Amino acid sequence: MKHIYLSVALILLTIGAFSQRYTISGYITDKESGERLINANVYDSKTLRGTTANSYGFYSISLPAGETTIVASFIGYTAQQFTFDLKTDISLNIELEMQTGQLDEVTVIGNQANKVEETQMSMIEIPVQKLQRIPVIFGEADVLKVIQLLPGVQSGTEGTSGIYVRGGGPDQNLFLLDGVPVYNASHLLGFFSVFNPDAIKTVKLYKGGFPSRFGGRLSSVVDISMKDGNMKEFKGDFSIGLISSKLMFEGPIIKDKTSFMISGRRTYLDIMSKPFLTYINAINPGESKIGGGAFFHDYNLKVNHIFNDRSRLYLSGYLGKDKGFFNNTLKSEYLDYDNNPKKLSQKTEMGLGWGNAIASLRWNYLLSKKLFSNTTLTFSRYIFDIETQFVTEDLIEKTKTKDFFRYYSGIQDWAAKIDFDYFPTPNHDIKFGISGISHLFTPGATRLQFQSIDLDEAFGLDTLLGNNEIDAYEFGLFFEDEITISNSLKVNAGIHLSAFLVEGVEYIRPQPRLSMRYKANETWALKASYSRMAQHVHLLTTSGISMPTDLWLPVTKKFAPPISDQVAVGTAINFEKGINLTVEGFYKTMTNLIEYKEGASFMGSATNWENKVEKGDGWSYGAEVMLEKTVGQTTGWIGYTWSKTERLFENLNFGNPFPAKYDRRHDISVAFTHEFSKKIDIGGTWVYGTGNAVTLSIMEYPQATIPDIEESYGYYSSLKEYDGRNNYRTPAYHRMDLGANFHKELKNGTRTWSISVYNVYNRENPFVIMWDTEGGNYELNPVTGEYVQVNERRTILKQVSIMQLIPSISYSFKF
Amino acid sequence: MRTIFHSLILFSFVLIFAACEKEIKFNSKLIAPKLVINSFVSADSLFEATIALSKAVPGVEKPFEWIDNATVILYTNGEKSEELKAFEIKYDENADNYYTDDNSNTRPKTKYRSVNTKAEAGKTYKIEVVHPEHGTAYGETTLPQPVEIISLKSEKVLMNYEWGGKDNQLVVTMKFKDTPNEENYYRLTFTRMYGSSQTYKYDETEKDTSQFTIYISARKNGTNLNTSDPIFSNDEDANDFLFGSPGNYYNLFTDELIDGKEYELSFVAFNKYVDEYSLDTLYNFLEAPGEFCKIDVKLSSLTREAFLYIKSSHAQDWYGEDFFSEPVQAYSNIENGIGIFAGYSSSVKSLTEGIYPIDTVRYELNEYDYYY
Repeated sequence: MKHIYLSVALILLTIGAFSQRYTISGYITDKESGERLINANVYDSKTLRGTTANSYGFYSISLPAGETTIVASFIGYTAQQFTFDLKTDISLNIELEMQTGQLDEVTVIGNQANKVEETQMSMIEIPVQKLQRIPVIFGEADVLKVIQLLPGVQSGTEGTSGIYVRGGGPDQNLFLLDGVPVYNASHLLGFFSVFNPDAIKTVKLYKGGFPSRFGGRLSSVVDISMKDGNMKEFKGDFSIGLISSKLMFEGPIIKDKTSFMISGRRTYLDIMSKPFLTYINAINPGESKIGGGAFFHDYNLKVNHIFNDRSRLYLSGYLGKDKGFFNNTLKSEYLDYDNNPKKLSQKTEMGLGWGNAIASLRWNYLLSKKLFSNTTLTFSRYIFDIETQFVTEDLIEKTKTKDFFRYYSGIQDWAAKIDFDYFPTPNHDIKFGISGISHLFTPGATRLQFQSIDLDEAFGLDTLLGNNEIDAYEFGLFFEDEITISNSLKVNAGIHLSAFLVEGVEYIRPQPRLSMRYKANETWALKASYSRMAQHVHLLTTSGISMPTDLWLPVTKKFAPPISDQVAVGTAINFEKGINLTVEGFYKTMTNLIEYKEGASFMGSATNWENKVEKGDGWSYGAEVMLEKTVGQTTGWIGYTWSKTERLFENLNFGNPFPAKYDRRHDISVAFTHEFSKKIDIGGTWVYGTGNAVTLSIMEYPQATIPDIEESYGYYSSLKEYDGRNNYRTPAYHRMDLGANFHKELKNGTRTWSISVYNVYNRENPFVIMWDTEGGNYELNPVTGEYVQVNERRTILKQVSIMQLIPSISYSFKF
Repeated sequence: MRTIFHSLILFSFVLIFAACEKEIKFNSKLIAPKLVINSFVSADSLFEATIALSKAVPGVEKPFEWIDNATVILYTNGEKSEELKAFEIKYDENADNYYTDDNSNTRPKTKYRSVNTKAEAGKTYKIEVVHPEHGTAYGETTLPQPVEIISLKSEKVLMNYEWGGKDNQLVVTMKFKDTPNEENYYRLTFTRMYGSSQTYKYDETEKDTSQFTIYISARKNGTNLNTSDPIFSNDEDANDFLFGSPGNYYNLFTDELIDGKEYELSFVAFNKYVDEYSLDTLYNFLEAPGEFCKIDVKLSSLTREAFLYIKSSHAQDWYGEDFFSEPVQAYSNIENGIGIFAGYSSSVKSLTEGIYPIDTVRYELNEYDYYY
């Protein structure tokens, strides 16, 4: 450790020892709202060398003394130029003005303008304002649904927001909301993500070439920043959709000093389902009545205060909760064997709920013109809880029995970190920091309760079963330097060092990272990257659906941290008229992965979860192409991915390699938006993916008779032959969605009617495939009085499809 | 108005969440039937095997095709030792355990047997099946040495359950020594003969009261051993509290915890529930005149193939195609085919609680055995 500190200090000193230079530094903000602009560019107009603003809009550039002109620019904003006779350090806060009337011509999907310049590859930034134009299901814009349309990203089951990046599993994605990990990014079994687009400022997806500041997951980082809140004036919007409504409100508490942003949304599927259930109960006039529903609600809050140019404090939080419930009441009256009247009431109630709560307190402090610090305290908690209760009441005898079952699991983190951005010269942009996390895992516990309340006595049983809570501690240290070697060659080199302490075991994992860019000319760059990532948590999942029952578990003595090594090479080309092409190839290996054993499922409680899983390796390789048009009335992209993902587990598939559950050979996505006028714009998407891998039995054969057992019913049986794990491919998936937005300027704001159609041509895509039987019917022969078989019994392959053509409409008002 | 509103909402709800089912084409290369060889070999016994053809899952349901025209050759330590002969299997359709509906598709029609060759522990056997249409399939196994049962003892235990019930149990403890430095796989089974004069008869008039008679019920106990011995716990215990788990149905265990050691394991070989109307049995368990219980304990050393097949085939049967569980593949060691060719060597030891036989007592088989 001592060596690392010394090395870092030496590098900083060496880099800082340059000739007489002065530093220009400050913040770049949106002139209208005061929002800080992340990744805005500041460069010397002579040398064209420069820097980009960090995640808090801070920039710092050191230039030689003398006449200097710098330019500040950001996509969608009018660039500004400043000229100085540089003979001292200068503080310069820059307010950029949005290019009114031209926004739609320059706003891009994917921050393509920098793709040739930056060393970062395998990263796509999604401007949130474009999300509304992409047609969506239920009229609800969703960040993750847009990410699913990008090359290298595969979606999970129909309609869900799960993502699988470059052959990685669903637990290999790090979702950061204002720097805080979100463990379950799904609402309503994955049909929505937890990220409310109204509250979001930026979304960045990293698929590879990970900068050293990120760690903890193997396959991707989705870095989401919430809006800070408008410093200048009160703004807001609300919308009402088919199944949800939402509201966002922001504004200054003290103008230019303190601002807030608050947003919330709620779905009303529970309300929608009421007439449906009323109808069901009406057409079944028996004594059984059912009820139920499902909904979610979530809230985002952010408050920030600027103490001075050096110091700013942020407090942000998210709270989301999903709830589903079902109940059935059955009343019956009858005479028992002794002809005594009986009157029973049987009630079944089932409820499940899950949700995330996260909070962060962040302090930005400018230590010097060149050194920016960011200190953060965070909290993140995810809980899943399912309860079932059966109550039987004898209304005459006045007795009651109650069976109660509860299963819950969760994870809770407290974390602290401090990181620094150091800008010694225009040729170096250094980031370094340390972090510590305290994890508390509750991998799954079951509570059973039985109560019998009689006239004379009460009898009860209350048992808690399951896995013990596990404490674990994680520490991280990172250092990275973006080095401009020449105008053509730029390198980002760094290391992320993680340490994980659990059950008395310590895992230390150094993770080197390297990215480089060679710019052949102003429009063409070649890129390459290598990154090693380590992960200290597992998600045990049994199905393609994003189930809230999925268990978060730590690495343990038995299961060491998974490691991935990814190499990527690619090119970025800017053509004329805002057309860009990126092509990337990658190869990724993954070790220490876990998968459920054959037959295992989630609801175990009797013994340790470690007995349910197997350990193995995986690899993935592929090529991704993305052709974008980022300028003009029509914007959009075409993406194509070819990839292959396999797993190798000693105790699965008899030790032979098998395709991963989310292995898919070809994926194509097309997305476009077109603006006819300020009043009307349209959007459309089309996706195509070859079949997903599923395990399907293909043959049946007689089972050998097991020795030394009594011959009884079922003594002679048969077995299914699977021909390997994930041996079968579902039919291809494809779908087109279209949408249109109609805007109108009103006195107090802008109203928008959004109409969209999901799955326009009503494609029946596979949700589940399974074997089923049909035929084998018998009819009575009136002559012989015997039943005879009238048709053959057949086994057929059936596909269940959901989410067919779904129109939706929503109304929103922005003020 | 309210009705219209409800109808509209109902329509939207159905539109969004309605699932649609349809038949789809099974899109895979032609599934050619495979030769299925099923043979469990017991040391000191003749070889037996059934040969069948597997059938594709999709399509018209039909019974399995049992093969009787294959050439089945047995090799011992690499040398051809015998060609097995096909025999038609006759079933007693009037037997109590003849279940027509359940077994008609899966009950073998033909069996191949060796005439001269008996399996011997320590030898390697190969079975080769040559069929004119379906090619050649084969499997190979080496029979393990039997492990001696060092001792067997029994103890009568009165079990008081938390819920208030009582049970008289005959607990048997078996001692054996694992062979060191090798992976060993075991199965414990036992047969039990229980004799009692109080045995229930459906028709009491059938009882012959002219002579004191003990009615004997005999049972093989190859599954669901009543034991809490940790050696029988297995990974499946971790699964699925709500819906159960396959457990250790076939009483399998390995030497993972006891490599090379002597080990004593206990299990309940017989039990009688003590109800409020028969309190006397609490004091007279297996002590009534002529009452006895004879236990034959069999410790089988399994080949690894036998262990994996028994375990995985039961797990597959248990889980079926449960949506929430990962499908289970059954183990097979048949090349160019499917099934199992595996074996075991056993050692047997007996004990008797009570006295059996007694010359003055007449013994009669109890057809209505209700003791488990």
